[in-house]
Amino acid sequence: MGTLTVETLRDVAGTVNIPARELKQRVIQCYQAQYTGGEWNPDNTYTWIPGAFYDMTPRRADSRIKFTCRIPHAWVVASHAISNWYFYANNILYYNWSESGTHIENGKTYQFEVPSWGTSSGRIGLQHRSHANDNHEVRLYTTYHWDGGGRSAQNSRGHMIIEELLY
Amino acid sequence: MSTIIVDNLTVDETRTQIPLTELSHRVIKSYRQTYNGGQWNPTTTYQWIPGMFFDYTPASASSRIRTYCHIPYSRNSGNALGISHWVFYANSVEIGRHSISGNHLEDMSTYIWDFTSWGTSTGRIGYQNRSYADDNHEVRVYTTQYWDGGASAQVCIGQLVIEEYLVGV
Repeated sequence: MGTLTVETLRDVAGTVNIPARELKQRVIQCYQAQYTGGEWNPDNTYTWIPGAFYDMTPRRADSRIKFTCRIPHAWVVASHAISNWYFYANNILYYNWSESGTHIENGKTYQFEVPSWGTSSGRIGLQHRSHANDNHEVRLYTTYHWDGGGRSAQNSRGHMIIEELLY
Repeated sequence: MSTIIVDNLTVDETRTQIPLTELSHRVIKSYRQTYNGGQWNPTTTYQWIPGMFFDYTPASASSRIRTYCHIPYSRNSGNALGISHWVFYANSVEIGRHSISGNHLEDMSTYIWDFTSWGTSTGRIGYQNRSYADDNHEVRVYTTQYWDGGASAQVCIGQLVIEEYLVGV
């Protein structure tokens, strides 16, 4: 159908005016998945977190990739839980942090944005290890306490959203 | 009069074209509210958290709804170990659950929930919360335990943002 060269889009009533240049910022690809597999037990080797990584092929080399992931987690064995996290995109380590504490439980959402690595497939996501296997560790997609009781491993769902954006 | 059929838009012919297919992913409705009512004290019964729920009417049945919940919280003075349970609902369907707990816990986080529209009728979106033990092992919302070197329950502001969007082709 061809190309319309225009500075402004306006509706018939004249109430909506959209400069075409403002449409440059947009989402051009979106992937998302929910994780419902229940508690994940890490060990002391870095492992891709199930439900928190994806082999993605960007559509463009000049875009940016926004990674959003909600991962509920909780201490389980030792009350002093210690966990180490990495965020990778196409084999580049962008961020690392620890998440530790006594009797910790949370349902945090993590969000990162990185440049596109080109239009080849690359893995984007989170790796995780525990401080000590089945001891000072944080388990994912679960709870420790629930409804006023002791250990109650609720199936806490996770969610990952990957958006490719142009600015 | 009202519809132009075209594959691409451009501001001028020398610039990059914008394929209309890439404009199909877009926000079609949004809502936001700020809560500044101060500390909220939960009980051992699940309740809607003030400022963290809204009765929303989607604009489309084929959209997705993304909700950002900006929530400060801290353990209360009853016990250093705060334990709390949170369930997020959309139109009476549980989207997910988690606990927030810790020893001497104080924090703030933005929790993001993303789910499919339930249609164009009004439904409630938001968090329900209960404490592990009332006024003892509990987490209070919109407050602090310590501030500026002493024990001090500061008023902390929360925000709920809802964005309804269509997923592009």
